[in-house]
Amino acid sequence: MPTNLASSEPQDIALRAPSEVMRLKRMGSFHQSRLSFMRVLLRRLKHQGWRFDRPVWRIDHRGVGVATYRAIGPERVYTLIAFAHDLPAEQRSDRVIAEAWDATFTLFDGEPSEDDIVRLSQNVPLQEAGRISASELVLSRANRSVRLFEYVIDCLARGLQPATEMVDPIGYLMRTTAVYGSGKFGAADRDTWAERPEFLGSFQPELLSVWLIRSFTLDLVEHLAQARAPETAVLMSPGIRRRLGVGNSTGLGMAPFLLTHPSLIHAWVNARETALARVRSIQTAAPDKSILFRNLVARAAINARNWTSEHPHQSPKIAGLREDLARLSNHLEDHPLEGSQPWNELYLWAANTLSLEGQEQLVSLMLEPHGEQIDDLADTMSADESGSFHINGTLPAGILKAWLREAYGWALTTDFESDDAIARVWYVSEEKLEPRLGERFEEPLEAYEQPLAPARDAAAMLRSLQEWDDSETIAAFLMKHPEHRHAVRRAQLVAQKPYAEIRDNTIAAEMLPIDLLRCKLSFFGATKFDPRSDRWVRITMFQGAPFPEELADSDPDDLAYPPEKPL
Amino acid sequence: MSWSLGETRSLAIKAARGAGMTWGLAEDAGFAVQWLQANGSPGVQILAEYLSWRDDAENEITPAWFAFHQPESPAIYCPIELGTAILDSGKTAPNRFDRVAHPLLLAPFLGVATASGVRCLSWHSTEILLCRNGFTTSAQQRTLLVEQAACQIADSKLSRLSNRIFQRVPDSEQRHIARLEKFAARTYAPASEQSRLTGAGAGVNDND
Repeated sequence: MPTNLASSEPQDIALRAPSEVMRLKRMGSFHQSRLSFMRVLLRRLKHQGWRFDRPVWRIDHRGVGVATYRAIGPERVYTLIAFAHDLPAEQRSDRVIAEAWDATFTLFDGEPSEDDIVRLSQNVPLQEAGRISASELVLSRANRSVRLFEYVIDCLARGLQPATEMVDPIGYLMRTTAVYGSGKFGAADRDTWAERPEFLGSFQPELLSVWLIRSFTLDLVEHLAQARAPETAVLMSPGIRRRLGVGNSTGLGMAPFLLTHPSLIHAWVNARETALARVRSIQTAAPDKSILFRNLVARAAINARNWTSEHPHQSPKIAGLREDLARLSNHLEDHPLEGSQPWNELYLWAANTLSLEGQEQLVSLMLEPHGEQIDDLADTMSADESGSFHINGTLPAGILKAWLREAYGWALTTDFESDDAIARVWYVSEEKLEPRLGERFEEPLEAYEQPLAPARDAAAMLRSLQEWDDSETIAAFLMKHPEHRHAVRRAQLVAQKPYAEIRDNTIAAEMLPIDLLRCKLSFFGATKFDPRSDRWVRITMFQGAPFPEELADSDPDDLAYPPEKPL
Repeated sequence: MSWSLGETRSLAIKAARGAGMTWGLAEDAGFAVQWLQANGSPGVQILAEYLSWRDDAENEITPAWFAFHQPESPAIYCPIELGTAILDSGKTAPNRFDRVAHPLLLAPFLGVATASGVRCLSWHSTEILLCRNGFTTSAQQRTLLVEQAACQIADSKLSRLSNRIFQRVPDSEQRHIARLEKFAARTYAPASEQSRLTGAGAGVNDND
């Protein structure tokens, strides 16, 4: 079976096997790392010397109007256009089926004219019901935090700083409820900008938008406090500002993404696993990196203490993480990073000792001091799904059978006749095309099922294929069995890109969609993962990160974990 | 107003599925529409025409297998199914087909199947010159959109084509986009109270 798990460079430690990594429970324990896309974005913007300003601020005393935030790079300019609205509280909803929001945004490719702003003001506030053009890269919206937004305005208007006990557990003033890019609703296709040096990797325009939205949310509360009480209002102190990121409220829309972009998921996981293997292969730990690592373990413990969730799935995981980090700290006291391949020794200890949550936290922490060895991998974290689209029909059936047994061996032992194994149905509702998950045996949904059960489909394909001679071609098989075409396409891809496939049943009764969401969000760089249900989650983005005006004089990577001493 | 190629491809996949194609063939229909539109050809319209024709209960499709094994059978082939079968089969594919529905949809598959050089797809007096990334034709739109025809595939003496790539689906296609949206809507589950309450997992209060 052709795989590219072996790195092209000499290294002792092999990459972890897909059968170990691509399990939902482990994917649902991934943490942000220095390869996460928010981190990559800020490193790159700093390295390339980008400048930022706010050319337009036409927001009235009610918080209604338009503002623009400009990012000026070595070759190009991008402008976030923010439309601020007066949303009645009863209309505030984070779901796809919402039709109005507190603020709506687009990222413009260049500097918009007044005509552009007028055109966009007639479309961006409508979100999915409007249309944007090839001049726009991103469409997004955000809602105010009911818990924090008004509280912060009130404090600032009275000349007070908001209390950290209020700010820290929430961590944002507004949360985005969708950030659309890549050609959605008329936006520019990814192909048209993917080769720009500032956007190499994944989701860079989307995360540039979110980072600028963060500035908008801070500017907006300070503006409203000033409008409310011009005599007493104060600006927020830098220490409190830094504690605020942008929230995100995410439902099921993100989960199918991992299944429908297999080449991309392989690229992400392969980069992270290659980075881990490189660090594990280091012969001796440099003293400065050992010191930094131990410092980061302590800061990760602070982060874990600040991370709260009431969800019965996540809450014990956080408690376990706190224990794991204490255990890790103690272990490092007795076993300093000495001897041969000390990072590998540490990893092997963790793999036998810590929870999955703790193990994956350790992976992220081990990458942290080793930017010189791994940061180049960030540029490999993108993929053109069309590159592996066409089927090699000349392949003999026998080869495909062998690939299936290797890549889907775990699925072939599942009884897909049992109700529990096929309990769920992924579907799209006619209500604003909201992605949903239903119960196959309770709702009449099967006719609308999306093809998001690769394990079941691969097993069904192999059953049909067993009746074919090994020497017959896949082309001949597919002429008789067009119903297996999507599964054949996927199996051929997975044979080349083994991290492309999730090694679990995505329609099983016990499947938790939040595991899929967590995996994707960790690659974005999200923190404070807080599930609201098994398929709905809130997170925080860019909390602790520098603001645009601070980027040139700060090290964004040093801000990824909370400081040992508060600002 | 114009459409991105990416969203158009997604719509075409859903429309083809909504019209009854398997998911795998629907994915190929999406590829075909994008390929045609990128080459300045009416991909959205030809898929809308084909799906409407296919939707008529009187029109029956014959599996592509017959084209390879019993070419004399009185059959009409689905251009997506036949196109993928030709592309899958490499050099072993036949080069004449008696009746193909909306044969313009064959062009993307024959184009990609042309590893080097140029090939010619023809029906009636219509000729399309194809290479891996594109095609050229001097045919009128009306003949390109023909409902069914006997098709031939032959090598061309040309070694390369110069073709222009289009990055958007123009406003003029709006009517046909709307036709695809109607087919796509068949893949969406009807609204229900249970679905609305439990399907997205947000519960009653998704605010904070």
